[in-house]
Parts: sequence; structure tokens; C-alpha cells
Amino acid sequence: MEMIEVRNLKKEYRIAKKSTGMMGSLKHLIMPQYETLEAVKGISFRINEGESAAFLGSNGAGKSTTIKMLTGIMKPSDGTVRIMGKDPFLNRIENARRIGVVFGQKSQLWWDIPVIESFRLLKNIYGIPEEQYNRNMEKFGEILGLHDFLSQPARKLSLGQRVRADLAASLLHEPPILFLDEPTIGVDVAAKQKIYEFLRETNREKKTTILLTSHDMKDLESICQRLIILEKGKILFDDTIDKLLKKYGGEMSLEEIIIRLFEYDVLV
Amino acid sequence: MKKYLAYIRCGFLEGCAYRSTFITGMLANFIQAVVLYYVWKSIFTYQDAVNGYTWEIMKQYVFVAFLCNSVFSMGFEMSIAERIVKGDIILDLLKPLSYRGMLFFRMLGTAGLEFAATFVLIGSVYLAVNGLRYLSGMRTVLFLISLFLGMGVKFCIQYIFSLLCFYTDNSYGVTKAREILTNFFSGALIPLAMFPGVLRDVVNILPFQGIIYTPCCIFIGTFSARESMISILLQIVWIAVLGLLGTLLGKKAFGVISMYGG
Repeated sequence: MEMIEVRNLKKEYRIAKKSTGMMGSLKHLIMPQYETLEAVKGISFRINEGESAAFLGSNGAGKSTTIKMLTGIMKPSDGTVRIMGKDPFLNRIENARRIGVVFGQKSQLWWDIPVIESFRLLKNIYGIPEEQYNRNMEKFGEILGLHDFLSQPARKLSLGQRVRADLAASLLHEPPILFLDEPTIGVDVAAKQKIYEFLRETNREKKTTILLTSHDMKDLESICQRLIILEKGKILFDDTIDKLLKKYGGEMSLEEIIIRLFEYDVLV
Repeated sequence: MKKYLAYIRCGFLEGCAYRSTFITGMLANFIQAVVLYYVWKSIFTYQDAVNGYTWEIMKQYVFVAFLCNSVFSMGFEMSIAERIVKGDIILDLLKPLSYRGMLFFRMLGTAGLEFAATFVLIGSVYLAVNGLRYLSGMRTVLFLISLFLGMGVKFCIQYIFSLLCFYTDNSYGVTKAREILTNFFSGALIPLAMFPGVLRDVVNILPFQGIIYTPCCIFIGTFSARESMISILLQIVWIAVLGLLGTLLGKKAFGVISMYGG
């Protein structure tokens, strides 16, 4: 079954064009000028149930923008997105029930109240049955090591602890699709291994479809089979990681290939 | 419904999280109420009545208006606006529920604590100054209904203003503008009956009076039973109109979400 279908997706931003200095700022105040920036320039791809795919691209390639459109919080400028057959922006609430999202840079945990309260709130929001909630809390708590800090408010957590708690929060309602935008920021090596293991297991057991963006090659190799390389808003490569490695005769590591790719902008 | 009620709990816990902020806030409230009381007292030493308002009425009005104004006070709106500017709002939109409904119940939870404390504090001061002689059971019931509806009106207005933050980065300016508008036109500072001719007519066709002036007049008894009913009906109409406006504006505003990067 097709979980994610993207056709000719585009996103344009209007950004203020300011000249430098005081005169420039004054000029902008009186006569603001804008320019359009094409962040995503018509991309298409499909992801099937149980697949785990990764978005890879240099800074500003359009990865986060694409994820935001897929999750239904941002309206595409053009093209269509279908999540399990439905437009996510027009059916935001219905779509939100079927996806789990982690933005490594942001946190959905409540800043000032104990982490456990955030989990309890999620239980009520998604209407998670008691039995499922307890089972997941037990399991996630063990794999991700949450038990030590569940009674602390989120503001007292370290970055790594926070990311782990956020990951658990996004999977509590067992969504069929999981979006991860840089989910291992600030996580130590041991905890990273736990996260990989956890995600692989979720992907295998529940057939959860995973779409991930990251700058960490280890993330990609450990979690995903498929690789979608975005560069300047276009897809450069879309196939399995093995195929990419083979293409280069198996001599270079994934990291070396990617560095070359970003430098020359094309697949050599 | 259960999912929205869960937000009351979290809002309440959030309100409790900062004990010292809460206590200093309460203290500031108390001082402000007392200052306002003495300002009016000095005005009425030189004048027996201002547009029909006597000192007898005014010394009730000051405290009741203060109580009404303490619900949904400024802090919440700033935090919503900040979430919009910083882009954290996308996390709220990823939840399978109405964004506005979520905000309302969350604020209700946080405001609950603040309101309860103000109620006890200002209520005791009111009783110390006025005693029991002006109280009436019927009017108190109508007052509570009207107070709750006033919260609805205020929430709708705050929601609309917070949506403006999708278009500007200046959340502080938006919040301040809203605050000044509501404080002046709702009767928080001066009873609307004291406004001169044209201004009085303008205020009548604005929704702000429903926030403070309406519940106050009902409680104090300057409104007759019939006037009270009409005013309460008017509050409901305003909630419907402003609610619809918020929905329409929300549809437009959520379409422009464009956080670049992050």
C-alpha cells in the first residue's frame, strides 16, 4: 500500500530583500521589496508501507520544507501530497492522528511540567487505551531509558534526554507513518544505538513507514534502506543505499560519496 | 471532549509551576486595585456624582471590574504570539484537535488558578469595604454567567489578535495594542457610563463592553433585570460573530505559515 505519494511538489517563499546598513533598513521600511525563493522545485516520489526512507541534502536543500508539507502544517505552492490517500493540509486533524513527528530542533514536551504529564496528555489527545499506553510506556521507557527523568520538567532535561522523550512521545499512539527531522541531534553514541535499534524494531514489528532527514550518515545507514538525495529543491538520487554504493564501485564510503556529491552538485 | 479537558489539567499545572511569579503577580494585582480605589475616592471627594455614578456605586465597581479583568490576563497571549513567531506553533498544529479549542482549555486551566486566588483576595477586600448590603443572589448568578461569557468574548478577541502575529514579528506590539483597546473600551479603568456622548455610542456597538462592563453592571445592579438579559444575549451574539471571524481569519493565517529553515 502506498503511504506517501508526492507529485510535482513545489514550495516558494517570499522573503524580504533588504540592503545592508541603516539606509537599507529605512528603505525597506518605506518601500519593502520581496523576492521569491524556490525551496522545493517540483519533486515527486512514493513511499510504500513498511519502507524506511531518508532525505539527504546539504543545508537549505528543502528537506525540512518537504517534511512540513507532508505533515500537513504547511500549504504547498503547487503539486499534490497524499498521505494514505488524503491531502494532509486539508485534512489536518485526520492526518495528525495517523502520523508521528519528531523535529529534533523543537520539542512537543511541556516546558514547565513533568515529562510524564506530557505523556498523559498525549494519551488523552489520541484516546490511547490504558493497556496500550502502559505497554508502550514500559517498552519505550526501557529501550530509551526514560525512567530516570519522567518526573522532571522538560526544561531540566539535557538535549539528548529531551530528544529521546520526544521520540517516545511521537510513537505513543502507534502511528503508521513516522516523520523524523534530525532526530539524533545532541544524542550520545550509546543512546544513538538505542534509538536505531528502537526505530528498526518499530519499523519491522509494526510495519511503520519511516521518513527521516539527518546529517548523520550513521543515522541513514542504520535506519534506512532507501535514500532520496535532495539538492537545491530537486531530487538528485532516489534508490537504495546499496545501489549508490555499487555505483561507485564499492570503494568509497557513503560519507565520501555524499561529500563529492555536494561539491559537484551532480552524480558522477 | 476528554482530550480538551486534559488541556485544563496541563494548563493548571503550568500555572502552578512558577510559585514566585504567581505570588508577585497577586501582590501587584492587589496594589493596583487599592491604588485605583483611592484614585476614585479622591475624585469623588470633589464631586458627588459623575454621569450618574456615585461613590457608593464606584467603590463596588472598582473591585468587581478588577476581578473581571483578572481572567485571561496578558501572559497567555504573549506566549501564543511567541510560539507563532518562533515557529513552535507547528507542534500544536500536529495534534489531532482544533487549535483554538486547545488554546481555550489550556488558558482556562492556567487562568483558573489565577482567578480563584484573585476571587478570594479581591472578594475579601470588597466585603471589607462594602459589606454584604449590596449583594443579591439572583444578580450574582447572572453575574457569574455573564462573567463566563465575558471570558469567551475576551478569548475570541485575543485569538484574533494573536493570529495577526502570522503577519508581523512584533508580538509585543500586537499584545499591547489589544490590551490597551480592551482595557479602555471594556470599562476596566473607567465605567462606560462616564464616557461622553459620541464615545458612549461608539462603545455600545463594540464587543469590548461584554468583557467587564456588562458583568459589573449586572452585579452592582445598575442594569435592570431586562437590561441584564439583553446584555447577556448580546454577549452571546458577539461570541458567535467574533468566533466566526476568528475561524475565517485562521483559515487564511494558517495558509501563510512559512518558516524557512529550522
